[in-house]
Amino acid sequence: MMRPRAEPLLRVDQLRIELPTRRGALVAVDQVTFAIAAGEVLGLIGESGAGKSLTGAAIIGMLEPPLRVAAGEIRLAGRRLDDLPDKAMQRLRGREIGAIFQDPLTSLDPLYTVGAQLIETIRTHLDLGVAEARRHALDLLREVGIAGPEQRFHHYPHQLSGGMRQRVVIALALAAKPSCIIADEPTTALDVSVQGHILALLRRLCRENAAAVLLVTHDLRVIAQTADRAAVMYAGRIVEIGPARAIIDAPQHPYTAALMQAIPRIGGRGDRMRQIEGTMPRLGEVPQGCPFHPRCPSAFDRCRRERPELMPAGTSAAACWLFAGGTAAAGVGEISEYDAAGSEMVATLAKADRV
Amino acid sequence: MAPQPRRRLRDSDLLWRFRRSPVAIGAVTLAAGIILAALMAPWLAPHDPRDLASVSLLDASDPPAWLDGGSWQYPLGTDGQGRDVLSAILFGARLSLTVGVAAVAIAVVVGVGLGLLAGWRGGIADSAIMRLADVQLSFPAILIALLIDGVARSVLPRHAQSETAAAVLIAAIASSFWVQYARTVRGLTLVERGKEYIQAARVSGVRPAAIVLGHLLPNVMGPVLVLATINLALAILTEATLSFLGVGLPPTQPSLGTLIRVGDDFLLSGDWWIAIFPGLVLAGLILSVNLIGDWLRETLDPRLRGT
Amino acid sequence: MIAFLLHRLCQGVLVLLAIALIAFALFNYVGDPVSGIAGQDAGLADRARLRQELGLDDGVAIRFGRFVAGLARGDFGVSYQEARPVGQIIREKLPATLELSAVAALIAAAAGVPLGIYTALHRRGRLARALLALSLMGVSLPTFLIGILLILVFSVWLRWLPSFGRGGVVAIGWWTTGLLTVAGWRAILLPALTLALFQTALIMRLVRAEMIEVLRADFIRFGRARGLTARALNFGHALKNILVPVITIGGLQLGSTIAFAIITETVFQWPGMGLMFIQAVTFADIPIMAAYLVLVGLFFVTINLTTDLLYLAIDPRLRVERARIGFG
Repeated sequence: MMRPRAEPLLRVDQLRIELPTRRGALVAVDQVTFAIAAGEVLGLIGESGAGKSLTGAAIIGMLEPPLRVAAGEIRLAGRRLDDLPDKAMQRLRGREIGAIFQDPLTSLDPLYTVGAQLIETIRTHLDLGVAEARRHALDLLREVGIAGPEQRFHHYPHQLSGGMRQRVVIALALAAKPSCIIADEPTTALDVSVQGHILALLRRLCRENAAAVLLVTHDLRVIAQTADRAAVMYAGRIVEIGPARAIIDAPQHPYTAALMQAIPRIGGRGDRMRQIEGTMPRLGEVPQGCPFHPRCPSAFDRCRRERPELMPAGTSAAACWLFAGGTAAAGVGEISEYDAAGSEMVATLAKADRV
Repeated sequence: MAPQPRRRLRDSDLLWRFRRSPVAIGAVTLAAGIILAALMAPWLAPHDPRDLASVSLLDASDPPAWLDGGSWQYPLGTDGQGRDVLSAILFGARLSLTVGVAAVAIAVVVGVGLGLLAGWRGGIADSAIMRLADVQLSFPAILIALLIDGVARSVLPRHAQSETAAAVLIAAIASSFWVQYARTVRGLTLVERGKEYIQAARVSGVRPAAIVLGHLLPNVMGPVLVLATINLALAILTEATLSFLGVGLPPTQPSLGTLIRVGDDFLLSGDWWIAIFPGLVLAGLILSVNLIGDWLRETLDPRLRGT
Repeated sequence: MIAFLLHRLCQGVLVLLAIALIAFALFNYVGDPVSGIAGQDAGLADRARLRQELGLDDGVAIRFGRFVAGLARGDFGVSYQEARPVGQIIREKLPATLELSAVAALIAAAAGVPLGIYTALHRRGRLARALLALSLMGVSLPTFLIGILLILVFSVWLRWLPSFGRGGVVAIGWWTTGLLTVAGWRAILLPALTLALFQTALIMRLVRAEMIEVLRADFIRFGRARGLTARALNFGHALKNILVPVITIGGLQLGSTIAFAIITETVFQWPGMGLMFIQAVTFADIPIMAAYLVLVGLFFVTINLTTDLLYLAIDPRLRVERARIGFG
């Protein structure tokens, strides 16, 4: 499964999402840049309000107005998505791009059976008769690991457990084999015992279908288990991006480091859990310079004045002036290459990986 | 003592939103206009429709002033007896408003009282009141009002009926409206009862009556006022309907509804003004009060639910 | 599920009994049934005989039992006004009211639901906002006023439609229908429109509110995310999901139809149950009032049960007793 220098399937370049208000436009997400290769899982981590769900929504073209994409490009297999009218986007949804949301119970229409909803989705995208669609639906159910699909076919969502529902949701999202998936907190609403299975399923299916996955979450354990690479978002910006293992084991950006220290770990030292002081700034209250500087233990003068761009830091890239020395500050374009190199590394690690 | 400061904030916010809403301003203007005119009826009306001496059959069924055969002495025309329609409308509006306001006032007092009782005491009082409320709620208000009116009719001697008509009407309408207040207040009481400031008052020995009146009552009045405004429109509508049906105010002291009923008989002969003008005033009054109530509810409710 | 239905059925019976009790109380304790039937001037001997015949000297429980048995048979006593069995009067008036209500309900549903959907889907459109304003007026204007206005325009000025009566009626068994003649339809049109206006406005606002609410739901969002067409989402999913709340509130509103029928029938002199009731109130004809009360109660209980049955048919969550847990 190793692809050297894979051409990214999904490219997001300098994405900027704004919320127009009477008092001027508020910037929700800014200068977000990343790329995901086919078969790769990129985790997007951040606290609530950091802008990760908005980023996912923008990619699939489902930003709630008046939120809008103000700048930047989103490309899927080279083709631009951000400037498409909604009708054109609608034809792509489900077929080229899919999405999975947080709560499987509310994601399914309670008044229709699992089978009916599957058939509807299948027949929307594929030209199949009812009988063929039914067979396809049963195959999908088997693929997502639902036992006794013939019976489950006739069940209503409320008759299934949380884990099974999310499997159905995954089946629905993958029905037409889209090449890009946005998974927004897919396991947050599930029991801990079930989360692992669902994540493993997601990962396996995406590898098999060579889909590019954007996994949005606030839970670092999800990243650890499922993501190849990770991007950390803070106040609408990416502050660190790199191989998932590196982010977790050797975080470079002070915010990422603080996040890691805030999680209790089994086998870790018996340190006190450390909370990060202060809170993430809300829309419109982002400070000048580095958005994290008011809470950063390592902040210095430059941090208050200039906003740092992503620059190389170990095997990742971090938006922090601490890394300004050393190699010349790389432009954004070069970061993507660096990124891809990192992805090579991760792919190597993945071979010896848990799945 | 949490609740007090919040109310002041709401008030000023309310005024600000009011100034920015053309619908609210328009509605209040219209309602105020009609209400003021009605209150000033004895001074404003060109004629006194109750004074039988001033009514002359020669002027009967005159059309409004701007049509042939009309005169500015009777700007909106006269009815079949020669009474000035404009004056009749002014006095009629006065009656309609009086009955409406009185009915809502009584419904509020009874409903809030019973609601507080049910919420505070719980137990049998609560169940009894709520059962009654449930049964009554499934019947349309008009039906209940009609029933009470019908019962009153068979109980009261015939000659006393026109004098007591207003009182019976008010009682009938009030009895169909108390339920909503009782329910709302009971719910709010149940919620507030568990709060700390109430517990504190109880523990420090304040008498239950004082707690209920001094602490609970001010806090439930907000939603009650909103309900009362919306209800006022409905009360006026109900009174007009009952009078139109012939079981409300009699033609000797006609409300707007009675006037329309009287005018209805003249409709087919072409004397439309006798029914239509009172109808327009009635519609204007109900619509404006409804709009005010609707706007009040939209403005206050989400905030109230949030508390 | 069966338990649920049985429970509701029992509740319904209890409510009916309670109403029967009130009717019974009305009947026997408001005014004097003997005077009502025999007249105010009846002599003492006649009164005593009447009391015997009516069984008024028996215990309350027995009389109530007899009353309920009578109700079950359709025996509602004798009208004070017309001195004939109330049951007979009701049979004459019932078809008029039922036909009027049915036509009005059809108009209201046929107009209200599509308008509600339209104004929900095109929230910011000018037409939608105009319709919304009109609906507010429809809910505020007194029904009788609307009736009078319609009469003024269509009967007096334009002379297109009659302003009272049922037009030509055809008798089928004990039922009389006005729907089989052109004259009948012309006569029912204005009253049905008047009755329907309030309901249409109400249904429209209700459907609109529910539609807007449901379109915010997660499953609609997920449906969009997987590429379902707007039509599939709006009409296949959203519409079905609003059926339950619309039916609930719609069912409750059916009660107000009864009230409005009274008014409409009075305005148009429509010879139905509503007009009968008003006349009974005016003349203190207690037996008719009591009978009307019981019938209305019966109507409500039936509506409630039907609504419950409809819920079961629409929402599968109510059907299954226990959710079967599979292995996640």
